[in-house]
Amino acid sequence: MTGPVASAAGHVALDKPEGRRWRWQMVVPAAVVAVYLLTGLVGESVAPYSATDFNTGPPLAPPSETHLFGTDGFGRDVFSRVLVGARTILLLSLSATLLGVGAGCALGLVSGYRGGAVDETVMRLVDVLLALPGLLLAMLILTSLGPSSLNLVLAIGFVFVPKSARIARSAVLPLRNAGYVEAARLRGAGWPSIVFAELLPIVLPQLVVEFCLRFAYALLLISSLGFLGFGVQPPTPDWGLMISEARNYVTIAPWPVLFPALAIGILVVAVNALADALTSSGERRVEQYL
Amino acid sequence: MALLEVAHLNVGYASVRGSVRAVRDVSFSLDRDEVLGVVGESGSGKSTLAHALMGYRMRGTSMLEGDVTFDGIPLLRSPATELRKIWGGRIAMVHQNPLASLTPTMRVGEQIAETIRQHRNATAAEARSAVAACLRAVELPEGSDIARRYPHQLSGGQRQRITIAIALALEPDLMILDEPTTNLDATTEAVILDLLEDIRSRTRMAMVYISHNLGVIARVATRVAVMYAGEIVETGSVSQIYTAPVHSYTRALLESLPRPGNSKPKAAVLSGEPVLAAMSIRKSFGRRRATVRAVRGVSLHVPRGAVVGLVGESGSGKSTLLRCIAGLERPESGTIQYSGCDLPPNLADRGKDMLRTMQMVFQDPESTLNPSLSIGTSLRRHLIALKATDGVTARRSVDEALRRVRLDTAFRGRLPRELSGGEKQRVAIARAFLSAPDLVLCDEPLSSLDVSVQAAVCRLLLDLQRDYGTSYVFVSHDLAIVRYMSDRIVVMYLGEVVEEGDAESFDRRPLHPYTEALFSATPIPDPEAATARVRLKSQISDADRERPGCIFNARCHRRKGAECSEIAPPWRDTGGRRYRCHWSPAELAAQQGNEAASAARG
Repeated sequence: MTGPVASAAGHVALDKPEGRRWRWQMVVPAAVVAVYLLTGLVGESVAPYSATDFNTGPPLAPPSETHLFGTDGFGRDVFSRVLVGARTILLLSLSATLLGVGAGCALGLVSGYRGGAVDETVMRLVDVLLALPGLLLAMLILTSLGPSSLNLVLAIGFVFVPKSARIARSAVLPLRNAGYVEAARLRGAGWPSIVFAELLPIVLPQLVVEFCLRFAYALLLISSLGFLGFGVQPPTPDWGLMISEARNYVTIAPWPVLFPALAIGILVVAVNALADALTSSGERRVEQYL
Repeated sequence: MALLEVAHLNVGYASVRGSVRAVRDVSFSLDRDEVLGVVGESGSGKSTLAHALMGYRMRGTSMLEGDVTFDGIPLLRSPATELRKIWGGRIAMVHQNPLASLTPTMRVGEQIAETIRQHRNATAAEARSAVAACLRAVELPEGSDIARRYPHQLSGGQRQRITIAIALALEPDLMILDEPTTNLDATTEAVILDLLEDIRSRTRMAMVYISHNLGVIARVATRVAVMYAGEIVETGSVSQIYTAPVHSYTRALLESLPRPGNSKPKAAVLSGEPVLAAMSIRKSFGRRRATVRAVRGVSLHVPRGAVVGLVGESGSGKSTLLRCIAGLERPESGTIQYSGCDLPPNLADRGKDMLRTMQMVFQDPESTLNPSLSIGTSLRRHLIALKATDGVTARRSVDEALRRVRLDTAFRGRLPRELSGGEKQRVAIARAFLSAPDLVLCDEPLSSLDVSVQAAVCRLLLDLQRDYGTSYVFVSHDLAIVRYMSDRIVVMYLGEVVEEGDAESFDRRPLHPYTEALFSATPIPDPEAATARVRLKSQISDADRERPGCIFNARCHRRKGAECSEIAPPWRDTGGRRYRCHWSPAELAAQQGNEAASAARG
């Protein structure tokens, strides 16, 4: 076994390299989400009326030049309320998702890597929590803690923990015995450093997708809770609450229901589409490695 | 006229990074009764060629040009309906992974019958008898329930026999075999190769046999084509290719192979206290009824500065033993002495000093480096954890480590996915040597690499060992590589050591019947080589682990009698070499001598 060997193995050369391509599947939903985020930032200052003032015009006035989205039963400007409501819902759902997905993923990563009794205990608790519908669980927590913005964030965050823990656990399971993990063990690294310094960067793309999906779900949950009266309390403009308040006269004046509903719907679809695009770009990247 | 005529074949793929031409201007012809061995390394386009020969457009094929004429039929220009009659009926294919090519939810007998019914009108009784004939042809026991089993209930060798039986079902004119024995153990591989040889001499079938293993090709082929980067760089008869290769790539490929008897330059005299002494290590997996006793009381001594080769087939417990020593698994019982001190079984109880002096190189180059970290970061992390150093010194040490494994320091900034398998394994070796360890545990570091890369990594390991005076425990299933690398060889079978001794003494002759079978099964890249044919009939079985007596007795070809299955065999010492068997060295020598004599007469 001494002879010289041809320089490289017999690999087939590539004829042309691939350039970075932006795809509309990614760009369109990202742009929509960006518009919402911008609205959340500056909505209050560009709104033509105050969101809480009564009688900015006649009650239940249809959309017109002065009231783009019409007015509700108290004569409040629906357009202004939708604009101002963006900040509430975005702030609440972002912080709830960060809290829930963050805590859940940390739990899942540790539980998946450590295995054994730790994993068994955590996963059975997760099973119990997953048996309860998310909305019901959130309502249970809110009725016992009392409705407030902070409690809303806590409740939704709690609802998200079990699902995120599962996702993170399943992402980390196949990596447990990889060579780099064992090499880290052989240099004396403990589990916190292996989980967060070695494994987290690898599974992060999967967790980002999970974050987007949970964020979309949080928007729906907050709107649903608002509609049911457990969420944001009046007179704060909240899309779910607005739908709930205006639902009695939806047959004669649909606009106070239609526009907040559209606002929720478009955002949820956009965030879901973004998560989808992220997933497939992740898969594409994986294909390139193979 | 030739059976198969290939002219100017070009195959290309569309990939996300652009189009790839996997087969470039390949031409050859194949007569009936010929076996063309196609040899090349991974990525050389062998499998693509195999599919193109059938006129099969693989998914993603963007270019399929040239001519493939099979018995007068232009395959690349035939409609799909025409091709479907030929596939399976006149050209059959056997793939590398039988578990993937068999349907998991269908009994294997039914899968053979399905192929027959697809091409011929056969009654149930006719199909049944045809299936029985197929099973006979691949030497699977008739009358057993094999036909009624599902693929997962068969061993790897049996599965590959079934796929060959399916290929044979319609007595095709041409059989294309794509690395059919690569996933099998050496002893099973030898049996399958015998079977193929036998089938060929009976049926006069033409074959295209694709493999990366020059030893296997030497055994089966009548003509050889060497592929490199999608081109056939050399073709010729077997003896021509192996004795007088013309192309430089073929020469390099042949020179990179270890042959029996080859060995590294002799190491210094090995004496003094051993760097590692593991005593009666035991390790089981699973709970209660499903327990597998992976390592059953193995002791291992590693002299300072020596390479101890641990050889055995899959399931022999060699990797588990290594992981117990490393502290990655916790042995149930046994003690490990390291440089004269007791080594705690738990990694957490081993101090930094102990960790620093014992490091490991892993088998799979794809998972040995963290894909999200640059090479520099990976190495720096390892270094800083083992030796408290500041950033500047660490960086200098990392550069030095890269140079030591003959990689450019520019690799620091690269991600693992930008590296080839051999380069990744070099980085892994650099990582193991960062802390200047006394002992490096190598868990099959070469098995996932191409032959030419294997040779280079092998040389690198030996150079480092010489320069640092490091000791290795080198695990491999490849006896030739272990023989080349090691000063001492330990042969393991089903969790027990069956033979150990100085590496040189293994050149003379094997003692233990299992070692003898391993030697005989190792394909030698020399078509003229005459080896004693020792074939193990039955399959390796976990049930053997639980019986009293000799662990090997169920498969042994030199079974002595009842004592083999009832009484544990004694260790027999023959000066620098010892083995466990009921036969004494003299009795074994007499048997081997008689067989050689009768083989010479016959």
